[in-house]
Amino acid sequence: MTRGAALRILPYSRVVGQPWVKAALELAYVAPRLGGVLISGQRGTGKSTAVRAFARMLYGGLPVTLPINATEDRVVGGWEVDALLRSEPVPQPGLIMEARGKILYVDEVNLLDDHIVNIILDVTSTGVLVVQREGLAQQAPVSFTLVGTMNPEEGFLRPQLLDRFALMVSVEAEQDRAEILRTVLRFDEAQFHRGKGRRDEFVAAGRVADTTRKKELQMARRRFYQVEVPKQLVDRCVRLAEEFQAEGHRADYVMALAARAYAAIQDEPRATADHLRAVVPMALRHRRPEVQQVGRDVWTDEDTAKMEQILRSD
Amino acid sequence: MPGLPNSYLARLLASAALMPGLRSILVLDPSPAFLDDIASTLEEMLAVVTGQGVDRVYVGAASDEEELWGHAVPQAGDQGLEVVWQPGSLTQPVENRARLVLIPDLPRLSLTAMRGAVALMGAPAGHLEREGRSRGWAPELCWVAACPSTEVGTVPPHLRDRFALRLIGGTVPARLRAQDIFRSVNRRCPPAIPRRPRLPSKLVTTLRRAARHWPLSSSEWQEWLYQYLPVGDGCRRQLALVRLALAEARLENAREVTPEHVQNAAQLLGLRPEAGRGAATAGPAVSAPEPERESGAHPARPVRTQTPLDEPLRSGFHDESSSRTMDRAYETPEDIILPAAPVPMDVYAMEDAAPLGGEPEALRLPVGRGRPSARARGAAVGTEPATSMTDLALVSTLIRAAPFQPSRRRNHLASPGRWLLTPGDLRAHRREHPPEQLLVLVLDHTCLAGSDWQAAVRLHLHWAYVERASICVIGVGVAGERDLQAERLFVHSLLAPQLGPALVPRPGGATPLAHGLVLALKAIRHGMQHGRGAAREARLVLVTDGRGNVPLEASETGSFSSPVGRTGIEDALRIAHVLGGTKRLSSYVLDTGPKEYPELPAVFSEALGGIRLVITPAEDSEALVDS
Repeated sequence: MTRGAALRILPYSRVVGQPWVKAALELAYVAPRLGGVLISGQRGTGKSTAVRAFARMLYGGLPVTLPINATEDRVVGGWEVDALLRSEPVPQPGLIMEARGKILYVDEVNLLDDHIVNIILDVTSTGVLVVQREGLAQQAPVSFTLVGTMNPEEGFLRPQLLDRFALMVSVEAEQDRAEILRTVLRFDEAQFHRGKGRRDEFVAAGRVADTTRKKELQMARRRFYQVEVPKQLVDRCVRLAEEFQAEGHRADYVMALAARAYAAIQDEPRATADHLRAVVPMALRHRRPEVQQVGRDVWTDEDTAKMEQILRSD
Repeated sequence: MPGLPNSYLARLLASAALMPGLRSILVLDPSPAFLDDIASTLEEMLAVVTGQGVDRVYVGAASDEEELWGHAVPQAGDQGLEVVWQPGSLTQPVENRARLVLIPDLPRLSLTAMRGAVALMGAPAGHLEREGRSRGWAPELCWVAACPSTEVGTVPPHLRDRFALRLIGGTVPARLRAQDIFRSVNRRCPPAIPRRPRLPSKLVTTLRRAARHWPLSSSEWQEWLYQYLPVGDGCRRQLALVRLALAEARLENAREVTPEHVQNAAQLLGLRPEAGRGAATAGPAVSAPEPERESGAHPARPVRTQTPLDEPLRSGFHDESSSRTMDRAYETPEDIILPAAPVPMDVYAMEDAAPLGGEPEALRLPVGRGRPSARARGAAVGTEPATSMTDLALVSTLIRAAPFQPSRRRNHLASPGRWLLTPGDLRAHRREHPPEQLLVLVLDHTCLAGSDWQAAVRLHLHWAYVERASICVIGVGVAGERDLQAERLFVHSLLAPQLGPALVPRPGGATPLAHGLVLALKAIRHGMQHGRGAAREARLVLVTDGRGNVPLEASETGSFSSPVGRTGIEDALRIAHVLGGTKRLSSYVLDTGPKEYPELPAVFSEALGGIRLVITPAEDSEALVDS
């Protein structure tokens, strides 16, 4: 990825609002076993901006991106064609291998080709990348955080792919439009100054704040397994999954894992109902039976009330 | 020379050249000549502002993935077989060269190109991962797309929203066009006529100065923003207005952005402050008047008729502190060659009011559209011996040829390292052949009793069997816990074992017909657009008495407050009308002959634009009347 493209990304700390998007991404980083984050929202709500900014903060560059023009050889791996022509068989790792331990980002994930979706499903369900094509015979364990952004107007995801995303956030248009406009214009100005070879304080201060946040998240990740998860909390996770008729078998596991990660981020020694309360909608909204029927995620005020009732029960 | 200098149009284009966030322009109802003039002018402005060369590419209805993203091409080289990567229209092979992407007909743009535009327009990064090539770059693309105003609603909103600017197209006055042609054919020029400079020198100076200038920005002017665009509008429109105001300030070399710049920017977009978003400009759109010129003579200083927008524009521009204004930049004999354009209208209002003709999930992976080809374009599932040079699987070809290289080189005076291929080595991709037909059967379980519906449906199932169609069965009014919602089942063929149980009647207590038709609509759109091999045509069979008593909202929320009245039926009819407008869809309504409201199935049939067949009671299975 060219450095130029990475420099066009707004610092993560400068992204206006989006608290739940940030929370989901941070949870997935602190607890990589969660697997994936799906961000759904109308056009122009800064979904892609937030993901790219997050990746740049953590990894110093843009995320490994699966574009809509991707062919299978670039997704799973193949041969370097130029080397092959020189009679040098040099395997070329695909995007899935490049994303090991990091983020594999799919923008407009609901527009992805079925064939590529099937590959992703296979890999994320087994945790193994098997390459049997063009004379290659390889398999390797892989683990990455699948992050997808989408506009639900263009269609929803197949249930199998939906299930691979541990957490889902539904983004509404930010209320603080003025702050968004100010931020975008300020960043435009920063880009202008960068083009003239001048340093810009807006970006510099943002990068400093990003560095601080990165360290906080790294420390949270290190203390993740020291956070206690009481059995009572786990029971509540199971009950929530049952009461909301969550599809699949991962909802309760995801809730427990996410609550633990949330406690780790907040530097708490134990995951509590408060932590669980924060993550339940993200874990359940796309696992409701109604989702495939109505073609969008579902979470209402009644659902919140029902969740509260379960959390407060003995 | 055709056209007139038009300061509104030139300022809009100059703003787009100055601000990367504004380099996507949707032009409504332009003539081809007007569109070309816009593109040419913008190219020159971009070259001045960026200091880079600008290439132009065209993207249209036939643009496929190879054209857009590039592909590998085998060719003979000095060292033997070489594989050369042919870059695509949307990738930028050369650093430091901008690219103008011209879309002559946006509604007819290939779906592949629409998806590419969605991915790249306004994006900070571009990604290419194809056929062994991996590349990332910072896109330097400028987009200009033409669209008939009557069809703007058919463009997927997800794509349309990405265009920062809109303008109403114009036409080159015929008399001036004829003058230009007369002059061109009589000119003694070599065949390759060099492009004459279009931008007046004063404008070039203005642009270069503006490119180096960034005004201060206070919060005061932002308050003015919301007078033109209500808070509820998308953020992108507000951003466009704000960036346009900033561009105005840069062009004027103003020290800071002022409310006047916002006002001018709003006027460039045809927005007025009343009611948050302006109504269309009062009076019909008029072109700037043609100058009084004679053939061959230099154009006289243009005389502009006062329009309702002229004075506010001038007040913002005749800044005492600025010795040069855009208007003055044009008042020279070598005026910019731009055709006349109507005064701005509120294009956003026009766009929002346009009838929606687009299909839901329209950007899902393409196919039936684009370059027609008898060859199936399903996903590559293997390789096979090639019979032509198209769709070659290069790596498989090389692997097949590799074991024979040593012996072939011994018998052939070839340079070391050269690959020696025979026709037998060539391998092509083997692709899926997906079903080209789709049957969607909507079965209302609450009205099946006593009718021989199986015989009627059997005819259509037979059709699906013969045509190897994929099948979607939607059960309406099925007994169960979620009886306010319809159920949907997809199968690849008639032989799927799940199909039988789905056709067993299980009447419930409610009839969510509207929801069933929504699922049918989605299935049809999805089946005819999704995947590399989409269905070419679909058949909808609706078995119903028309008495859908569950409003759509109730199906979506899972609850309703009675009484619902006719809401369920009206919702269902509304969806039926949308289905009726779907291309390549034939519809059949199997009327179960209800005693109450017997006219309803006919109403649905009319809404669908389909054929109604009356199913008589089960004891009289011979009588199937075609209405």
